[in-house]
Amino acid sequence: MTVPLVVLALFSILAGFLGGWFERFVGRSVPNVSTELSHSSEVVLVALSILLSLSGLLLAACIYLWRKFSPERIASSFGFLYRLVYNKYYFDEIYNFVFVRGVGFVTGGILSFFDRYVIDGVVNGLAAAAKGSSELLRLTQTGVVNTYVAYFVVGMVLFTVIIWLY
Amino acid sequence: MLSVILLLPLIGALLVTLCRSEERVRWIALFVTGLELLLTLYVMFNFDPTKGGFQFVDYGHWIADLSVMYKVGVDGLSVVMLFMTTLVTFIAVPSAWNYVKEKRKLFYALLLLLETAMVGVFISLDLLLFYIFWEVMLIPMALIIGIWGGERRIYSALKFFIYTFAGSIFLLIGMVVLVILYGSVTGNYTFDITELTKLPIPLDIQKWLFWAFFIAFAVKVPVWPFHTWLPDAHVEAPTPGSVILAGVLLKMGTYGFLRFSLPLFPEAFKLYAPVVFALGIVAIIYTALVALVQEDVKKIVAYSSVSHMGFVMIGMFSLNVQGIEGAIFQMLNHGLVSAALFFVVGIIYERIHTRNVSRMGGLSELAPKLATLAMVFTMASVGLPGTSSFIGEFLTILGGLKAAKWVGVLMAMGVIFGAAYMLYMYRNVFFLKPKVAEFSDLDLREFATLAFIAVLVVWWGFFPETVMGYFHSYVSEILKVAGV
Repeated sequence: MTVPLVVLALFSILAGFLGGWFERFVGRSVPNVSTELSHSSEVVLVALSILLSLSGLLLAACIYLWRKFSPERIASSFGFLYRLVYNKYYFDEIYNFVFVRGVGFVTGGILSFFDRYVIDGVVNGLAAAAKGSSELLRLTQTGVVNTYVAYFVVGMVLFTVIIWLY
Repeated sequence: MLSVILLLPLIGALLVTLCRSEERVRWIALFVTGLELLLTLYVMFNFDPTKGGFQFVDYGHWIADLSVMYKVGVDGLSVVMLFMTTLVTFIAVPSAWNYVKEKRKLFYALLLLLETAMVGVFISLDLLLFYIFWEVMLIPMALIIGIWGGERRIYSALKFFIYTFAGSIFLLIGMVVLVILYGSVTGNYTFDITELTKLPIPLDIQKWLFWAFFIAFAVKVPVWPFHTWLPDAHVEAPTPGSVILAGVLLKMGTYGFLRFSLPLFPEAFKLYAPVVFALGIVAIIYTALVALVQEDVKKIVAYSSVSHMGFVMIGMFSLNVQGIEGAIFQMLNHGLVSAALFFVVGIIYERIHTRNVSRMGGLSELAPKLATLAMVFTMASVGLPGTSSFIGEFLTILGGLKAAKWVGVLMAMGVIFGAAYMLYMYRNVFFLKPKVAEFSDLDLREFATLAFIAVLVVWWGFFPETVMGYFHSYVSEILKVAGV
């Protein structure tokens, strides 16, 4: 694990200097879209983030390097808070439940069912309807001349009635 | 030149049928598709991307009474589609090498016939000629699914055929209306696309024609909810069939939108863009979630195709430079990546005769070469920067964002779901505990084909300009036609 960490550490220090090169590389294929903050707010943001990381380093050094406070004592006195932070605010568990199980697999399962039975049902239903109606119409084609004459007469009568009515 | 490219596979198909040996036909097919690819490259190198309009135009009278012409030519859009078609067909031959064991002669003859039809679709400049190739292409494809497919091959082939055919009827009606309208306005009839696009069509007629063309193209893309033929057809088709279906056939639909719908009905195109955005978003998210719960590896890749085509649809209808360029790039990139993924799935199926995710696992230990290359394509499908998908997805999202904020945001959500199902699949197939005892790694033929695609995917990821350069002027021209 040390080698990847060394590589990542090197990049996290140096990658910022690649900015111009990276922008040109992306810019060739992607048209320029950039959001610029005002200069003063940029300075504040940079200062704030450096300050935060430095204070974090200092706190860690106080606890683990110089042993000013005992970490065990802190853990036991802030029991609930300690467990919450120790488990990363339970983010993994919440995400797993809401997004992976819930949105992912449960909705996916429902949609998969919908896809196979509802949408495809309509598609296959149309085919079945076409087939069914032709099966029904087929019954009229008996091949017996008498039946065809009967249809003919019925048709003539209906036709006359319709014309006479209008 | 283009006529040679159009006819060469047809001659190849004849050669294949005349060949005595069932073994040798594969080499003939490989040779013909390879030569076809070289000819396409010749066209690409001699194509001048700075000029607008059509180049390499060949024409002649065909059915004079109906003023139907034989006219072919390429512009910035069709030249890259032509390249993708011949490239994917060239890949399809090695993917069929051992997979297709029976009736090899018939298979390669149909494959080459299919290539002629696909090339014809992308280079036709006459509407009727286009329609003929569009329909002819169905026959060899349906036969390839129906003869060499899996268990439910007859059902899938029939569904694919009827579904697409039913859609195309609307295209035919729309075409006839369009040509009659042109005739009644100008006094002479033509099927020439370059002439037809000059005709100003009243908006209320545009609306009807737009939907007629829309249904035909939407079935092919496929746009949700016309997609249910796709999982069936892709899953049942033999490996080379899936490779071509996903690699080329789907792009015919999106190509149709750009070639016909946009220049012919620009106002209707703009008017209905929000409808297409909604359908595209549904396609992206819905099919990604459906892909997540599939057990069949091939089904996962099939649904991912529908999801990725959603990006293309939205990109085209966003009607800005980034969206349309991204859409075209995404078409090319999806052609490569999905073809490669179906090839990978085919390789696994040939060895262990299952496509069920839960019965695989640990293949990375048994077949490190396959695992490495499959990782490249998985990452490409997810849209990792450095692969060609990133460029396509990023530009289409940018286009969507420019058209409407909500569209871009929801598209980006789709990318996350895409990562979820692809990584989930990769983990279950290649990591975890091995469930199969024996699995031989790639042989030279498989390795060479997949490595070739992988190099292209990465190359396009870093130097997209090598292909995008071809269609910059096409896009700016089409946007002028659309009045944006």
